[in-house]
Amino acid sequence: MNIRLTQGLLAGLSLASLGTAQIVVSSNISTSTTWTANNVYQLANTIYVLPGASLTIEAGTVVVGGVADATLAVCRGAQIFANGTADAPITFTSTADRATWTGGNPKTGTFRQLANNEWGNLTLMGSAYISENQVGTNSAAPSSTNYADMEGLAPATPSLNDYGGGNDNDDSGNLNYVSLRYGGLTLAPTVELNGLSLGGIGRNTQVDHVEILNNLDDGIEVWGGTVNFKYVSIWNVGDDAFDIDQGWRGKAQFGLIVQGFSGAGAQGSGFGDNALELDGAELCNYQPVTTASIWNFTVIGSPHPTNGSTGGDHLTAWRDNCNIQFHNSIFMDAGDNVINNDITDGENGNTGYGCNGTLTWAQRWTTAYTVTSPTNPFAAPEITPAQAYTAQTSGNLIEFRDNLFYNNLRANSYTEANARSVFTGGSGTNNANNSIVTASPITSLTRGAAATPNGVNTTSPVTFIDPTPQNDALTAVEFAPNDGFFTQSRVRGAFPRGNNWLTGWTAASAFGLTSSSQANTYIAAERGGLVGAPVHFTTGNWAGGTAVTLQVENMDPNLNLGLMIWGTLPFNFPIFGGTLVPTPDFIGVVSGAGGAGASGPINVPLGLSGAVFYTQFVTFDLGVPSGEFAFSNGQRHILP
Amino acid sequence: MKSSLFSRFAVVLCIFAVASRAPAQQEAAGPTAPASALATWQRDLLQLAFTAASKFPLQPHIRNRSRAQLQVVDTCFELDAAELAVGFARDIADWRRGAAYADFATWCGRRGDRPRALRYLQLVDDLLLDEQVGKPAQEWQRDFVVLKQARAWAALGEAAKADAAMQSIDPDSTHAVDPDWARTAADRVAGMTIEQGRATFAGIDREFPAMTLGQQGTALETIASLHARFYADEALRRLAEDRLTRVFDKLPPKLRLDAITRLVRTAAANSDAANAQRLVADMQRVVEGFQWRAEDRVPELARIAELRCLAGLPDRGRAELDAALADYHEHRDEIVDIYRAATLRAVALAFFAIGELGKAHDLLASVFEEGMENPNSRPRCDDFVATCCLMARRGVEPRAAMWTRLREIVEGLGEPW
Repeated sequence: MNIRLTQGLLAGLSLASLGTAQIVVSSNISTSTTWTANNVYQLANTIYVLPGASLTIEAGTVVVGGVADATLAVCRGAQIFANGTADAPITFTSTADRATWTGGNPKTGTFRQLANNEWGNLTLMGSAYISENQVGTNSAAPSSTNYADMEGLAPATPSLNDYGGGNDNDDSGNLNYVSLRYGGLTLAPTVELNGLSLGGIGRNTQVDHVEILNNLDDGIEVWGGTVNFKYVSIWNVGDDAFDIDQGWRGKAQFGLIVQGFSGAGAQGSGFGDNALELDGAELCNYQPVTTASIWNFTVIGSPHPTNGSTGGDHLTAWRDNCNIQFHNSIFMDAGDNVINNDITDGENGNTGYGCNGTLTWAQRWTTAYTVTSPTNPFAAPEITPAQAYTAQTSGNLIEFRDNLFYNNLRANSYTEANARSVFTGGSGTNNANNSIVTASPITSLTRGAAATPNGVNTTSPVTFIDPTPQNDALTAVEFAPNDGFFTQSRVRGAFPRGNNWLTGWTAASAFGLTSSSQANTYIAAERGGLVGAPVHFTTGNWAGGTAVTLQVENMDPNLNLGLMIWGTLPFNFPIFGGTLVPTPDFIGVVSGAGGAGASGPINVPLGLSGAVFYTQFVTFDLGVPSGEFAFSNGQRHILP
Repeated sequence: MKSSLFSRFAVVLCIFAVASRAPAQQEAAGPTAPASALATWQRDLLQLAFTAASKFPLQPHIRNRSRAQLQVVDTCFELDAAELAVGFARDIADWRRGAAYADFATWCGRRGDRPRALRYLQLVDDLLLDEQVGKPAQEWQRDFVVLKQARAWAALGEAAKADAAMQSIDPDSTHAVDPDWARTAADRVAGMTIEQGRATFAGIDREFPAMTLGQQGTALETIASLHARFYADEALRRLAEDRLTRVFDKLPPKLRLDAITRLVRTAAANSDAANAQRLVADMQRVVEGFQWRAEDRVPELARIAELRCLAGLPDRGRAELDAALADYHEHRDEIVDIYRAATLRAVALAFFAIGELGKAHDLLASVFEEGMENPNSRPRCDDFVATCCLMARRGVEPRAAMWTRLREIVEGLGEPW
């Protein structure tokens, strides 16, 4: 099919956040407030959104903090609606970062490798169940009366840093398309803030498209609760990238972790520690205990250049009865082990897995997800309703399935993974389809010169990534369950073929750490079918005078038939069980073998610089109810 | 080929557009069932609460709005005002509308209105797929709705369809998302022989430590139901009381207190004042075994006071209720303002329960004012709706002056939310 595009709409490429006024925010927010994109909001100190208040932040708004304690903390009972978009993300950063931008546009700027702690962070506190033993009244078993004090915050009114409660359906608002850069506040040595702190946040809170770059401490830390994550990117944080504790019982899908360093501090305060630090409960036999499901992560460590012992730490560090399933993910470039049983976090007298009659580390790999601990059991929630442990729906409490391991070259990198039969699927385990591969599962990764920023730890920081899949990562044996949250993405790693969802809204994209091309921008709209979600990608660059091919794969292989839709406007129309992204200005039929189809070369017209087109495939599929279809992701194309 | 396909697609789009409007027409066309026994003041109070809930702006507060609306709808169902409930439900803008329709289908089914029940079940199915309104974004939301669908099928005598719906839900959901299912389990206890009751109890006793969430919740309800069903059997009664007051001491205190409350009410209903008093004393020991924040402690003290009266110690109960109120006032400033109304509400309703109507009304007036302490309409509205719903449920009719104030409060809801 040769199709010449004759229609187009000149897109007004908005330069987001050309702030015209700087608003200094120096008082707590007691009255619901909207921050608008025509202003820049400067946090003068730690600002609490007080219980009962809501803070709405418009798409494209910039929030800066020029002092270390410039933090935004959303109290339990308050809400935040940070509703950014792919075109107009919400940016939280420092005045030093903003000084590098062109025209006040956060999509520009200069990356500074050794920069963090230039402002505080974003903290959300909710009322979901947590397990915590530092508050004297807390019980070992889950209780709506249990609560904790958020670390790193010291409000004048003590209750303002409380989180936890009995509402797993807690709704603390939305975080959509939010970029958090160069934060991490040091209150005192070892008392630091994470890029995004989430304490007791419930599943009614929406967190998707969130980026943390160059934070002093952890990237995202989650204490208990049931919040789910989708499309998260964590780069160069100075401690653990994704840190879990106090009984998190959520799901996460599509996460990119790039370990490195962001300052000259020690490992844990500037040089990255573990990529994923996975604690079960604050005390090992408390409940709730972390029981979660993670799909489609790409985890890139920070190895010593010659694989010595002073690079980054483990890719996954496990503690205190944590149960997590990893599926369809990529683990590469480990600084130390890909799986490590830390036994305990060394706090509170914990003795790690197996304490006080709980299941041992080894037993959790062979124990069905339905088995919950009888020690301090999670009885029915006292108020309404929600299941305590919902994230896992099959398999064993700990399992690895369908993951790729690449370039993990330390001598001990796979010792624990082998002991747990990750690659052989030993008796009783539910491990399967995991491979150590020798060809890179991501398209490209470039590292800079080796550096020893703190005089002890050495690594070569990542300077560019195209994280889209190649080789064994292009497909997977399994895909996530259709539960309304997960996308049935049948790839390994965080990105479908030809779709880099970092583009356009992240600091990584703005700073040239990954692509900033708007030629083929990913739009999440997949609806899975018999073999998972169809993937739409474009080969060739959508530029005037060139030929491109619109492609789809992962159609129902029995039918091999789909409709190619494109239009000049976004439509986002619910139909046939899915969402139609483009206006159906043109519709074509694609067919092919093996579930793959292509448009054939399309000649992109000349002279339409700035024109915008949207494309998507709707495929016929026996795996969906009669009268419905499977839907691929959409793509937006802007002519250069 | 391309042109033909486009035409077909366009036609399908038109059909879809028409079809997507069809449910609203069907919803409006149902026959009118007999009016409920709801008192006029209750209807007015619930209408006022729903009006308040509906003042939430859809963006960004669609979830807050829908939650508050569903609270009113649930209250209507509890008071058997299903027509009022379904009328309200039509204004819910998210997946919770499907949950309300499923409850309405159950109500219709139980009254033999099969056609209408089926029509609403179809509407629920449609909503589950409706990306713009009803399609749940997460599994637990879908479970919440499907569970109610299953109950509706059961009410229609369609056991196979009820089972099929249940099969699609994680078993743990059955208690967690809908207490009505636990009550269904309790209903089964009502038909047991004493031997079956003993066997059931022994099974729970044996399995409890290893039970999952849903199983434990159902087990507690079952124990309380066995206690009520076989109260005359001293051995079984003692076993039930012993489990809830002593053996299951690792359970969260509030959960234990909820369960023991049922035992107290059973003892009182059997005119066994001595046992009721002993159980209340057990509750007090549970409360005293923990340090509570004021917003958690005061409601528990009020509950104990109310139950003490029920157990035949009215003077002591009244004194304890006064103490609970004093405790509230002493620690009021420690309580974050958005939690004050709920704390005081528990005391006010306890006064109503023990017959101190004047005191209860005075306190409820204060509850509404405490709910206005926060400067934002979201917590104000949440407190207002919750208090109105509880008053309707407990039969607390507002006095004339209060009506005026309630309307003022609703009128005043607005920015900032």
